[in-house]
Amino acid sequence: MSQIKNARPNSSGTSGHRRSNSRNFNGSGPGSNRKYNGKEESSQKPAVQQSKVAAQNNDDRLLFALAHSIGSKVIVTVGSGSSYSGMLVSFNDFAADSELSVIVKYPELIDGSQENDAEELPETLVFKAKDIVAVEIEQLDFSKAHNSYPAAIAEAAEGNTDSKKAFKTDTDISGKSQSKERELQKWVPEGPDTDLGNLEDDTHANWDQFEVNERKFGVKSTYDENLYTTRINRDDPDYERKLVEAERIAKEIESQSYNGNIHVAEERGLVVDDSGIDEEDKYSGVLRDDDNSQNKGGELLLGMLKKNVKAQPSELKQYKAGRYVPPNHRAANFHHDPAVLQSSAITQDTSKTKKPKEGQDSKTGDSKEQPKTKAQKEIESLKEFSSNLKLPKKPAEDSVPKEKNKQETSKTPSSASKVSDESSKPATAATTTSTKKPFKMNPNTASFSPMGFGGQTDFHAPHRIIPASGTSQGSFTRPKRNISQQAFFGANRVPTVAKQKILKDNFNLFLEKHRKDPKAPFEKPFVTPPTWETTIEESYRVLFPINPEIPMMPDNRMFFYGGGQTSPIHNTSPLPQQLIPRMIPMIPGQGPSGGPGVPQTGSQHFVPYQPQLIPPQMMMSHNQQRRGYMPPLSQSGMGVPMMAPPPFPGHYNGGKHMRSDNKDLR
Amino acid sequence: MSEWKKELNLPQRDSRPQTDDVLNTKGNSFESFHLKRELLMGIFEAGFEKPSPIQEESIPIALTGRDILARAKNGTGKTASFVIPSLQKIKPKMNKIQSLILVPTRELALQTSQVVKTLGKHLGVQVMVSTGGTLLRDDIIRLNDPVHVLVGTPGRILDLASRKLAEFDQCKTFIMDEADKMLSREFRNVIEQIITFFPSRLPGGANAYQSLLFSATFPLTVKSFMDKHLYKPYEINLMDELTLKGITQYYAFVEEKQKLHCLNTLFSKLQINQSIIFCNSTKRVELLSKKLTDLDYSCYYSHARMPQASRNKVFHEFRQGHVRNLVCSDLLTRGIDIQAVNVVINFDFPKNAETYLHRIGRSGRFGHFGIAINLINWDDRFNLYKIEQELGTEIKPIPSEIDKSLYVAGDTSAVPRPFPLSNYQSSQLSAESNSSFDGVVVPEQQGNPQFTYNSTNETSGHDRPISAREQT
Repeated sequence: MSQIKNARPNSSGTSGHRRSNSRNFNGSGPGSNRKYNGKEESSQKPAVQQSKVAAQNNDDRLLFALAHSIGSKVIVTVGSGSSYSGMLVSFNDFAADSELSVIVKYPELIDGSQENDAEELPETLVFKAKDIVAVEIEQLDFSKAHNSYPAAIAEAAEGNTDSKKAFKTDTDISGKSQSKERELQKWVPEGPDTDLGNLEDDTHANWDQFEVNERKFGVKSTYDENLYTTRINRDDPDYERKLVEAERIAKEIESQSYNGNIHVAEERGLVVDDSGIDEEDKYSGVLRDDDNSQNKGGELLLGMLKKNVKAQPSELKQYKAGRYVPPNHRAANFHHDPAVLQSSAITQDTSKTKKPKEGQDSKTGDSKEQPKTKAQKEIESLKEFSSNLKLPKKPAEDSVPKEKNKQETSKTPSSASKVSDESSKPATAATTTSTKKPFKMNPNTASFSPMGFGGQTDFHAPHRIIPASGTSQGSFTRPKRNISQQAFFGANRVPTVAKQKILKDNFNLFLEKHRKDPKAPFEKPFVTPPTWETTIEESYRVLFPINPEIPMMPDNRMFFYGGGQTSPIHNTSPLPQQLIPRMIPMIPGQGPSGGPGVPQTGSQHFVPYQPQLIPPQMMMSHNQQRRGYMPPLSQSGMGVPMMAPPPFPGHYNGGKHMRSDNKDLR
Repeated sequence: MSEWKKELNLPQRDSRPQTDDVLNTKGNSFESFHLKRELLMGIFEAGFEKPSPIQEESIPIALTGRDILARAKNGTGKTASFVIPSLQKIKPKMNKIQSLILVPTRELALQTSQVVKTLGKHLGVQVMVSTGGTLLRDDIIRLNDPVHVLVGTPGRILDLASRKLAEFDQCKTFIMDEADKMLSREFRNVIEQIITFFPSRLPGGANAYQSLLFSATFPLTVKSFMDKHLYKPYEINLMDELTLKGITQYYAFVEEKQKLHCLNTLFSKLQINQSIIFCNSTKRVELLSKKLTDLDYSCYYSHARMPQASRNKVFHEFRQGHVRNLVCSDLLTRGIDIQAVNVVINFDFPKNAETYLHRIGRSGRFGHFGIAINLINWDDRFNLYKIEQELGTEIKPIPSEIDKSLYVAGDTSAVPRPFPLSNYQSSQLSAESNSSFDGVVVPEQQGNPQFTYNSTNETSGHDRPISAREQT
C-alpha cells in the first residue's frame, strides 16, 4: 500500500501545500532513474536546463502514478481545509496546463466542518488546480503495471510474485464467499411410508457380496491381475530359485520396523489398530501441515477432535513429526512427560484385541478398581488439561475441552473402571512394540506443529531445543508437576509400597550419590545459563550487542533454552560445583551464589522449577526474546539428536520430586 | 489422414454431451505435440480425440522436462497429462525403471497402471503395479524382469527401493497423482525417503529427474514440498472454480432413520447408469450394500478392511460396468475413474471439503453430466455450510423431479470401459477360459424394476458388456 501525497510543484500559493516529493516516485523503478541519469550525464547542460529536465521527469512520474491510480480511492484536500474522498476518474493534462486538476466521482466529505453539510454533493466533483492543496492516493498498486515496470518483473522472477499470480490454494479459488447458514428444506417422503428402519439396526454386517450378487443378479467376477501389472513368468527354469530368494527378502522386509507410519504398516499387511482414524482421513482428507496455514490448523484440528471423540487407539506408538497422529495421541505428543503420555493414550483405550462384555467388566471393575477412581479423576484432569493446552485459538479453546468433558462426565461411572481394567493389556503391548521397534530420529522430518504456530506471535511457540526425546517434537510447558503414580505408571501398574520404596531409592539421584560418596558434590542433571541478564529494561541495543558475549560454561556444555521445559539430560561429565546451589536450593551448607559468568538474575527465569509461577504469556515473551540471543553453540545443538537415554522416572516430576527427596535426605 | 491412422482400431465414439471443463481448449491436437507414432496410436485407440485443456497445457511443458505442479478439476484428463509425456520419454530398450508414479490408494494404482498400459500398448513398455495387499514376494520376482514404469503406493515402493529391489538411479520422471494427499502427513515422510533414491541433483541446482505433481485440490501442504523438491515448477491452474460444471448438487435433509427410505426413493426415481454411494464407516458400507441387495439392486461394496483380492474384484467389475451400484468408503474417493457413473450419493456427509469435492467428482467424468445427492442429517448441517463455503458452491434442496437432462445421457452405449475385450491379449483369452466372459452378461433389468429407460435399445449396449463373441 503506497501513499502518494502530491501536488504540482509549481501550483504555488496555497499554504500547507506539500511539494511533490520525488522520493515517492523513485519507486517507479530503476528504469526511469537510469533514464534520468543518462540524460543528465550525457547532455552536460546548464543548470536551468537540468532542472527543466528534472521537472519533466517529475511530470512523467506523476503522470505514471496518476494514470495507475485511476479508479482508486483518492482524498483531495482543498484550500478551505476540508477533504473529500472519492474515486479518481480523470485528471487534466497538467504538463500542458502546468496545473493539476482532478475529477472525482462519488465524493464524500470526510473532514470539513466549515462546509455546508446540508448541501448534497453531486455525483462528480471537479477540483480545480487553484483549490487543491493535496491529493492523496490510497492503496496505490504499481504491480498492476508490471509489464512496463522492471522492478516488478525482477521481483516476479525471484519468486516474490504477488498474490494474484502465485500458487493458488483451494481457498484462494473458492474465495470464501456466499453461503451462510440457512434454513434447510426438509425432505418429505412421498407415497406410502415404507419404514426401512435405521441402517444400523441390523448389526450383522458380514455377507458375501460375490456370492449374493452372482446368485441374485448373475454378476460374476473376472479379475486378472495381469491386466494391470507385469506377468510373472512361472515357466522360467529359474523360477523356483527366484521364488525362494524373493520369499526370503519379503520376510525380511516385512519384519522391519514401520516406524509408526500407518501407511507403511498397512502396505506391509500389518494389522495396525487405526480405529482413531477413519477412511476419510486415511485416503481422502488432507492433513494440513500447519507450518504454513496459520488459521487452518486450528480449525482442522478442532474438526478432527470433534469427529474423533470416541476414537480409541490401543497402542501407544511413537510418532514422528510429519506423520499423522490420531487425535487421542496428539496430547501425548506434546508432552515429554510419560505420565501425560501414558494417560492420554491408555485411559481412552478400549482395546480391539480384548472385547469384554459390558456387564462382566463392570462387575470386576467395581470390586477391584474402586480405589483407583481418584487416580482416574486425576488422569482425566490431566488429560483435560493437555487437551486444553494443545488447542491454539479462539474457537478451539473453549469448545473442545467442553466436548471432552461432556464425554467424560457422562462416561465416568461405568467406563472409568472399565478403562482402568483394560489398560493393562495395551500398556504391555505398548512396551513390547516399543522395545521391538527402535525409534530412529529422522533429521528430515518437519517438526510437528498442529496448530500452525510456526512464527506466530500470538501463541506461545516454545523454541524447540529438545535435547533428546524419542516421543515428541513439540515441547510445551508442563502443565502440572504433581502427577500421580497412577498417571505415571499407567492405571494398574502402580508398584507396591515395597517396590515403590525401591524405585524411589534407586532412582533417587541424591540418595545414590550419598551412598557412594557422602562428601562428593552433587551432580547437577542439567545446566541452564542465564536467560536474561538484567531485570532493568534496557534498549535492545544494549541487550543485543552486535557481538553478544554469551557466557559459556567452562566445559563447553550446551545451553538449553527449552521453552519452559528443560528436559533432564543424562550427564556423564560432572558439573561445575558452583552451579548446583541454584538448582537445588535446599542443600544445606551451600547457599545460592552465582557462578562465574552466571548472573544471579538469570535464575529467576529457570522455568521448570517454578512453572506455576510463570504465566504462559510471560514465557512466550522470554522464548521469543531469547531467539535473538542464542549462543551459537546451542543453535548448532538444536538439530542434533542427542543420544541420551530416556530420562529416569525420578526426573520427570522435576523440581517437586527432587525437593521432596531432599527433605528425605535431611 | 495419414495411412497409419486408418489402420487404428478405434473404439466407438462416446457421443454424450460434454461441458467446457474439457472442451475449452486452444484447439491443439495430439499430433501437434510431436509424439512417437506408437504412442499416438495408443492414444487414439484409447478413444482420445483431442487433448483436454489440462493435457494441452501440461504435455508440451512436460516434454521440455520442466517440473510441473498442475491442478485441474476431477476427471478432466489429468492422468493422461502425465502419462503421455512420461511414455514419450521412455526408452523401451533400457531395462530400467524410468518412470515412477505414486498414488495414494491401491485401486488408483491399478487404474493408473491400466491407463499407462493402454496408452503405451504399442510402445512395448512394461508397466508394473506395486502396492500393499499383494504378495511382496511376487513383486520382487516381477522386478527381476524389465520394468519401465512403476506405479504404486509409497509404502510398498519405499520397501522395494530401500532394499535396492527397485532402482531409481535411471528414473527420470517422478510423478505424484493426487499430490495433495500424497503430501499429507502420513505419506510425506515416505515420499521424501523415496526421493533420496532418485538421481542426485545436477550442478545447476536442477533435479536430475522431472517431477510432475497433479491434483484437483491443493491445500497449502503442497507449497513447502514444492519449494523444497521442485525446481522452478511450472504451475498450471485451470480452475477458476472448484466444482465441475457438469455436476448438479442436491441435498436431502432427512432424519438419520429416514436415510434408507430416502435412498430407496431415489433409486426408484433416478435413471442410474452407474452409481457410487459413499458411507462414512466400513460397517455402514457393508450394512448398506446388504440392504440394497435385499431391495434387489445389484450392488458391490468396497472398503479398506477387505482383503485386497476382493477389493480388486469389486473395482474391476464395477469399472467394467458389470454391476450397477457400488457402496464404498472414502477409499475410492480420489481419482477413481468410471465414466459411466452419473449419480453419486453421499449417504453420509463427509467432513472435509476435499473429500466432498473428490466424491462428487466420481460422477460427471470427462466433462459429462451427473448429479450428486447428499443426505444431510441434523448434525451434518454445519458441515454442509462449511463445505459450501469452502468450495464456493451451492447445494440445492432436492426437487421432487430431477430434470433428466442434468444427468442422463441419451446414448450410453459407447461409454469407455477400461478393457474392451479386444485389449485382452490372446494369451489371456486362452488362459482365462472363455466361459467366464460369456457369463458376465448382466441380465437386463433383472430384479431392478425401478430402473426406467427411454428405450430398451439404449440400455442394451451399456447394461450388457460386450461379450467376447460379439466382438470378434
